[in-house]
Amino acid sequence: MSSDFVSILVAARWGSVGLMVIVLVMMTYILCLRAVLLMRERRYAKLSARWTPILLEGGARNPKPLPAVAPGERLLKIDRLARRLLSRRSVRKKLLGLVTLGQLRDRLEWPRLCQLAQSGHPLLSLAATQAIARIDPAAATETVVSLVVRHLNWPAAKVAGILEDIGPERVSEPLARALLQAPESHRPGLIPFLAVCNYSTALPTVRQMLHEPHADEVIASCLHVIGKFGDRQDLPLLYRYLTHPRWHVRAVAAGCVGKMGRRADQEKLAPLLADREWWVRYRAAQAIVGLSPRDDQRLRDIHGTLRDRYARDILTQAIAEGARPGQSGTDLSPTGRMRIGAGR
Amino acid sequence: MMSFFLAAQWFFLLYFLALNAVYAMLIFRALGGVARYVQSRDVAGLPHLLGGFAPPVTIVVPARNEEANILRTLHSLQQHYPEYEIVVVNDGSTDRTLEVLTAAYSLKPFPEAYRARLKTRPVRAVYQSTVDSRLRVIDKEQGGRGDAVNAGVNIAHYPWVCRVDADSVLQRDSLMLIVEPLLEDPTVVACGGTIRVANGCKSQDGLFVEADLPKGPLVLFQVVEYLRAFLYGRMGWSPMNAHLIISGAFGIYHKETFVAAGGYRSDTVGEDMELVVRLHRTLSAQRKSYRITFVPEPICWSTVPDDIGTLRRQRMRWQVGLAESLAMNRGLMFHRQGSFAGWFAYPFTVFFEWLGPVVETCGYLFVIIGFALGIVSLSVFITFMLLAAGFGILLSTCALLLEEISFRLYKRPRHILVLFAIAVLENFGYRQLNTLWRMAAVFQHLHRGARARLARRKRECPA
Repeated sequence: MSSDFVSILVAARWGSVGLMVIVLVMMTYILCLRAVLLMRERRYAKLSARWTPILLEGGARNPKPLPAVAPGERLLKIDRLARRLLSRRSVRKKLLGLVTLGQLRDRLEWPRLCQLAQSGHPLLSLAATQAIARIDPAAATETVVSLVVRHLNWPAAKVAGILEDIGPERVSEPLARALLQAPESHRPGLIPFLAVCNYSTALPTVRQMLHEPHADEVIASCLHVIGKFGDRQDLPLLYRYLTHPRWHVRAVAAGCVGKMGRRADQEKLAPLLADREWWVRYRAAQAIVGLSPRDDQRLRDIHGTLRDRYARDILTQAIAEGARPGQSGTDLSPTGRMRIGAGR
Repeated sequence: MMSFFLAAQWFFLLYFLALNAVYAMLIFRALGGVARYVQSRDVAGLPHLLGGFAPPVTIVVPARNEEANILRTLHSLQQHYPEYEIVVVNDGSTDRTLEVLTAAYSLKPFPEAYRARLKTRPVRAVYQSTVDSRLRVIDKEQGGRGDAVNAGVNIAHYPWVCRVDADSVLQRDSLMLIVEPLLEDPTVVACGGTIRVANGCKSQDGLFVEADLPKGPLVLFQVVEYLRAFLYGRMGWSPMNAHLIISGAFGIYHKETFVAAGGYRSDTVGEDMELVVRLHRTLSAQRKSYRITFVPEPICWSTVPDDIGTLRRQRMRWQVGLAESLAMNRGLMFHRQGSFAGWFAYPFTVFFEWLGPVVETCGYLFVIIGFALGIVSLSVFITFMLLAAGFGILLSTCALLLEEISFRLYKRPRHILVLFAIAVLENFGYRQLNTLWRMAAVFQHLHRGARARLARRKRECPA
C-alpha cells in the first residue's frame, strides 16, 4: 500500500468518526427544534383559545370592510411599528409594513415607499406601488403608471386593481400617453389596462393604433379593448380583421363581432367556421351561437348550409356548449376574452 | 494484481468523494431554497397578496382500471380554486371505470370537435357530466398514461394543464400552491409538486387530513427516501433550473409549451422524466428564457408499494425510465446552450444515478472479495463500510433537518425518533437491495437495447 493511500485511509477513518459526530449533533439539534416548536405551539394554542372568540365576536358585529385608521386613532402606535418593519431584512415583515402603511394612509415614509416600489423583488415592488396608490392616488398616478410600464411581470389582475383604486379619471390620460410612447414589445402587455380607463380615452387610443401598422399581438390586444367597450361604431373596423392573415387576430375579431354584432353578422362569421385553425373555427362558432341565443331553428338552418365537415362539427359543439347546464360557451385561451389576471 | 486493486481503490474513493461532494452542494442549495420558500409561504399567507391571480387550469386524470379509486380521486379534485375544469381519460379500462363515472356524474356523450394536436390512440367518445359542467371524460383505446394525458391535453380549454394520477391524494389547496411559482415568475413553463407517502396517513373522501407514519419497515424506508428525494434532491437542483423530473403524480405544464414539445412519449416507461429532460433540451437549444420549477411544500400524497415484489418492479421500472429518458435526450449533455441542466444535472444523472448502482455494487464486491483474498485489510474494510453507512445516515439526517425547519408534517416526537432509526437502519440491507435491483435494470435496459439494435440491423441487411 502506498504511503499516500495509507494517509488517505487514516483521514477516511477520522472522517467516518467525524461523520458520526455530525449526525449525532444534527439529531440532537432536530430534537431541540422540536421541543421549542412544541412549547411555541402550546403558547399559541393558549393565546388562540383566549383571543379567537373575542375577535370573531367583534368581526360578526361589524362585518363591513375596515375603514382607514386616522392618525388620532392610532393608540397602539401601529404606524410606528409598520415603519420600523420597512427596514427589516425579512420580505414578510417588509410586506406586512407596506400593507399596514397603505391601509393607514400613512404619508411619512413616502420616499421610502417610492424607493421600495423600484425594488427588484416583484412582490415588494407591487406591494409598495399598491401602498402609494392608496396613500395618495393623485400624487401616485404618474409614478404608478411609469412603474406599470416597467414591470410587465406584475400580475395583471393586481395592476388592474391598483389602477382601478386610483380611478379612471386620473389614470386614463397618463396611461394612454405611456402606451403610445412605449416600445412595440411592451404594448401587448399594456393595452389590456385601457379596459380600466375612461371610454373617451381608451377607444380613440386603440382606434388610432389600429390605423397604424403594428405587430399582430398589438392588434389583437386592441381588438380585445374594442370588444370590451362594445361600441357598434367599431364593427366595420372589426370586419376587416376577420380575414387577417394571422389566425389569432381572426379569432379575436370573431369573438368581438360575436359580442358586439347583430344577427346579420352571422353571415360574415360563417366562412370562418371552415378556417384551417381550430381556434378560429371555435370562436366563430361561439360567436354565431351567441348572436342567436335561444333560436335553435336559426342555428339549425346555418348548420344545414355548411358543406365543410369541420365547420359542421365545430358548430355542433358550440350549440351543445351553449345548451350546457350553467354554462354558456366555455373557453378562455389563448385568444378568448381579454384576461386581466391570467398570470401570463 | 496488487496494482489493479490499488487503482480500483483510488477509482472507488474518487467516485465516492465526487458523489458526496455533489450531494453536499445540493444540501446547501436546498437549505437556502427551503428557507426562502418558508419565508415566501408566510408572505403568501398575507391577505389579498396573491389572491385573484390564479390562471385557469385544466386538470387531466389518466385512469386505467381505476373503478375503485376514481370517485375518491375526483372528490379530492374539488379544489379551493377559482377556475378549473377536469378531464378524466379512460385509457381502455377493462373494468367498470367508465360505468362508475357515468353513474356518479350522469355522463352524456358530447359532440366535442376533437382537435388532435398531439397524436394519440383512437378516441372512442367524449362525455360531459350533466351534474358538474366542469367535468368531461374521454374514452379511448389503451395507450399508456402518457398517451392518455396527451388526449386530455388535446381537449383542454385552459392555458395550463395539471396532470394528476388517479391514485394521488391531494389537499384542498394543492392546485393553488402549485400555481404560485407561475404567478411569481412568468418564464415558468412547468412546475412539479412534492410527493409524500400516503400509506398510514389519514384521509377523508380522498382528501389528505393528517400525516402519520405507516407501520411496516419497507414503507418507512420509502418515507425517508421520499424526504431525501424531494427535500434536497429536487430542491437542490431547482434553484439552478436543473431538475430533470416532474413526477407524474402531480405536475403542471404550460399547455402551448407542452404541445410544442410534442407531449408525452408513449414508447418509454419514464414518460414524466423524459418530457422534462426534453423540455430542457429543446427550450435551451432554442435559447428560450424558461424555468422548470418545483414546489417544496408537500401537496400530493401517493401510495407506495408495501410488498417487496411490487417495490422491486417499481424501482426497476424507474431505473429503465431514467435510462430511456437520458438516452432519448443525449443531445442535452454538454450542449452549448444546455446551462446547468446540460452541464451539470444531466452528466450527474448519467454517472451517478444511471451508472451509480453498477459502481456501488462493484465497490461492495471489490471490498468483500479483496478482504476475502487478504488484499484489502480489515481496517480498510471497516473504514469503507463505516464511510458508506455514515454518508448514507448523514444524507438522511440532513433531509430530516430540512423537514424539521420547513414543514414538520410528522407532528409527534415519536415520529422523529422512528425516522432517525429508519435513517440508520436503511443503510444495512435496504439500500444495498435497492442498488441490486437498479443494477439489474441497467443490464436489462442495455440488453434490450442491444437486442433491438441487432434486430434493426437484421431488418436492414437480411442477407
